Amino acid sequence: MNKLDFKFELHKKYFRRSLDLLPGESAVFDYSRLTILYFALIGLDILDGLDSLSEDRKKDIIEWVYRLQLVPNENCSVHKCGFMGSTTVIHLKNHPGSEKYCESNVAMTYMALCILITMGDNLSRVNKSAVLQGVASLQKPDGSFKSNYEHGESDLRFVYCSLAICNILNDSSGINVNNAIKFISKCLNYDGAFGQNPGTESHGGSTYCAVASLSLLNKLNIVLDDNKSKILERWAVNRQTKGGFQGRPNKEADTCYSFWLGATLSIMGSLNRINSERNRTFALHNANLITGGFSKNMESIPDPMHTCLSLCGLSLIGEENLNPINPALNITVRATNYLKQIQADSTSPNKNIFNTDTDY
Amino acid sequence: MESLIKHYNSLKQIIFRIFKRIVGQSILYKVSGAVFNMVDQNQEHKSDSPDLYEAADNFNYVLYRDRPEWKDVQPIAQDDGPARVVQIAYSTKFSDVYDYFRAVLKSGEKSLRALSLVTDAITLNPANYTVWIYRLEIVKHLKVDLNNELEYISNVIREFTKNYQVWQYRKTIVEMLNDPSGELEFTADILDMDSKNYHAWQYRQWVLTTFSELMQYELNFVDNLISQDMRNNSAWNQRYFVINNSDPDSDVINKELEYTFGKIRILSKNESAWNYLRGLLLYSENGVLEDKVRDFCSNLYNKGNRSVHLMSCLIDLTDADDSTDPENVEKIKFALKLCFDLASDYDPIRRYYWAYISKDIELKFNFKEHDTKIVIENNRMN
Repeated sequence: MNKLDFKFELHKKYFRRSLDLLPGESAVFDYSRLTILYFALIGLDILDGLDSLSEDRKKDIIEWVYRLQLVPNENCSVHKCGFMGSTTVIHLKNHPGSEKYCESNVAMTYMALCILITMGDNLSRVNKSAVLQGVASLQKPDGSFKSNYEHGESDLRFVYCSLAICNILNDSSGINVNNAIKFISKCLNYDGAFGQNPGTESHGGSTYCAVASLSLLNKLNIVLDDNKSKILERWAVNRQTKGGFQGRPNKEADTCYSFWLGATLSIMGSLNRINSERNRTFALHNANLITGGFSKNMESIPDPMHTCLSLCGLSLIGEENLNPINPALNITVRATNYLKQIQADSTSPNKNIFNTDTDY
Repeated sequence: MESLIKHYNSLKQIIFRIFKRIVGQSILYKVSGAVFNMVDQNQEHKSDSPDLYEAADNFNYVLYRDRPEWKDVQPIAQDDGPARVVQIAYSTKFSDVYDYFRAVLKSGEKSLRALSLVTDAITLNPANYTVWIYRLEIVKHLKVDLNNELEYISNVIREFTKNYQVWQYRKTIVEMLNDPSGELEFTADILDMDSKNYHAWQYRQWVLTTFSELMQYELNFVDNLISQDMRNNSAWNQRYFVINNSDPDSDVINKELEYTFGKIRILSKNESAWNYLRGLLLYSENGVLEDKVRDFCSNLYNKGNRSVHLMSCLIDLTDADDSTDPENVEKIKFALKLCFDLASDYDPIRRYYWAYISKDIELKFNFKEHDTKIVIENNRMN
């Protein structure tokens, strides 16, 4: 058996298992189960494996996600609205005085929307205006965004999620785009790449968040002129080491950076400057041929995130029979086309698909 | 029986107070669970853990539902709705703690026993930020000594060094204390475990920015780390952070340039030092620093050094020079030769990249005829 063969069915099975039941050690993801759902479904979509889920199963998933939505009412102010990551404290939904503990998280809202689009849901039950006001209330004076309202931390990750939500819902009128761009610019470092916050070390993940954010805003060239693009491109191609990509200089390669840096270069139009063959070999060497799935390196076991992002990385470099992805939103091109269709329908007269007052 | 429990509980309170006075509260958080649970064991104890290892680990642990002092609380099970999606096979302990946590969150109880419950909930899943929010509210309500809370969070961070919430909580406590006196030492300890821990560095930068009087010691700290491991990119980044924040004059920048030259002479294949050098050039006026760097690079190259980063730097310096004087033709030829050598011998993994750079230089200087053209097989992407 050739180790470098791509085992489609095995990886599909891996994701289907993750969709059902996770082992007890996954309890540290208890508050963000939605992220596992996201990685499993985007991954399945890349593998063209969504058809292997029954219609009932798809409906179950959609209903489970919508249950995590918080909509405005007397016990939930609009700045807490959006999606939660799990059902851990869902019992507090609509419970008087509990909105401090039962609040949305911007990363979870972004992933919830991606899941719904990927599942073919037309977002009609998303309370668009509440989600957008929720996002707007997370923006800080420096332009960055917090993860959640109460004591949430802020950095480029949540800037990206916020801008992706505005992009998906086709409305950024509630946020201060200029301040967001200023913040992103401040995260640009002396070595040409981006750190998570101004001054912090350049990192593949935060560089992706910056470049994808700017691309969603159509402002890539404003922050990165030709010279800066060139330096960033050098930094990014230099991350390829022993085949795979590392997240920072002088660190070990990890399969997820084939996505973070691959997508960064893809957005910049420079992905053809990496060594795709060796990147592919690195990813496939980290595929588990017994359980399915991909691990971050040879010393680890597979997990849904590294499996999904390995597939994203492989899709970017044109692996055969994988569905292409949209590197800026990290959903498939198929799902993106469906999103465009929803967006077009919603702007046509007399047809407001983004229902703004459904209390689901 | 009822009076016995009452008696037992008041005894517990007394022991708790004595303990608190002797050892301070933070250790109490850690110890009290163990001590009282051992006592609790003598009460009605039933363990139905499905996992043998878990059972062994938690030999002395009593589920909340079996603790007499929690009898008045009705636990609330997780409401996952009708659909079964990404379920987790929670351990009995996890479900039990979180069932009681849900109940406490709903009732809003802010008591010592709630604090102890929250401590367990954190240990089981420190990524649940709502537990941290609630902990803070209990701490404020009970007016817990914040210094003890700082000690508690220090212990938790030592266990979960790469969790976001633990650092965020520390920040909140230090802000409330308005006392950063132990923070540099603490982050230094954590960086001693992993000198590239992003969370620790980010937190350290927050400390230095918020309490700027601490910045004066930072360059020494960075010096030590770079001496220990010249490839520590986080330390180089911190160096830039310190210098950049000090509003440096040309003397400082020149000193930094010499420092970096020195490190590169020892380890020329170290990308971190070369990136730092690039950062220093951002301070250059009228090309003065570029000339120094060019001399340094030429010198190394002529001595036979073929570090990829040295060669890249030489290419960049040529590329930046837009002059069309005849002397430049030789420089362009040299840059193209460097691209060729990198693609074929010194950096073949990036041969597509160097082919592109070579082509870019050809186009920019309209320089089509030369004998170092890079011929490459088809890249998957091309």
